Amino acid sequence: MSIAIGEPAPGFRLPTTDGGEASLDDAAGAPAVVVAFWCNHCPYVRAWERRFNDLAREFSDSGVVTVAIGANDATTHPGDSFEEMVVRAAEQRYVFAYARDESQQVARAYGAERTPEVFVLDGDRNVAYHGAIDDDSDPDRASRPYLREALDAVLEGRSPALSETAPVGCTIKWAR
Amino acid sequence: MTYLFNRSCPSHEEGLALLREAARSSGIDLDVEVVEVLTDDDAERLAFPGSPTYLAAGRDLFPREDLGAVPTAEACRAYARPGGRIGPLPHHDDVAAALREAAREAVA
Repeated sequence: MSIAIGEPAPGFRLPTTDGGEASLDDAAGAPAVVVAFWCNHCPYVRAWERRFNDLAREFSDSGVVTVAIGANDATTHPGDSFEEMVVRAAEQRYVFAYARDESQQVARAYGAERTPEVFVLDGDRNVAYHGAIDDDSDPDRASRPYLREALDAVLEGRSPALSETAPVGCTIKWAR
Repeated sequence: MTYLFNRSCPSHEEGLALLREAARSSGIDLDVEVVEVLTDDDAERLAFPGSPTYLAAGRDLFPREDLGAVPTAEACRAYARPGGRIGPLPHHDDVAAALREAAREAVA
């Protein structure tokens, strides 16, 4: 079960594909943080990838920090290994941090179940929104930009009108 | 037709409906065997490339390069879509075209 809306987000420090680290502590002062559970292979991630990257770029201008976390077991899904994450981030020119949760502890701490699955954290690092990026993996059919609405609300000091939606995507591949 | 799927991918119901609709719009009468891939052993035996997979007389409607990955049950399949996009399901028109091609080969 995922962490509830209004609850403090679990901290983390994870290696990123650019050779650095991502942590909530490093985002101190950011008005909002987006934590997205992500991977390389899932077609749903691929379908939302460009939209998510565009949102991360757009909201970075407002100081929003975006971290995508790959937690899939690379034994059964070698395309989701850290090495392949490095390749994917470079190929797709990710503007957000792409971090590896090898132990899967962060995914479990958030109660994440799918990729993509996003959490928006407010300035106090409490969960303000949890769910999908928008309402359809097909960009031509998407009409409700959940993540954008949540970020707009948090940046304006409001609670999102819609704070929780069902994430749609592949299940996280847990180590066996 | 055989429709292979795994529940870890939420597209499986929509994928089956897509198949039936593409057949209907192409005037093809389909007999579909729906097979849920439950275990990695199943996946290996079926050479399962991910959910969903459409087989016509055992042949993949959307053949792809063998990337050498070990088949696993919990694998979602990515399909190329119009405009260079990737999605969890093929486009209706591509399914319909592949079905027509498979039907032609079946009677040849």
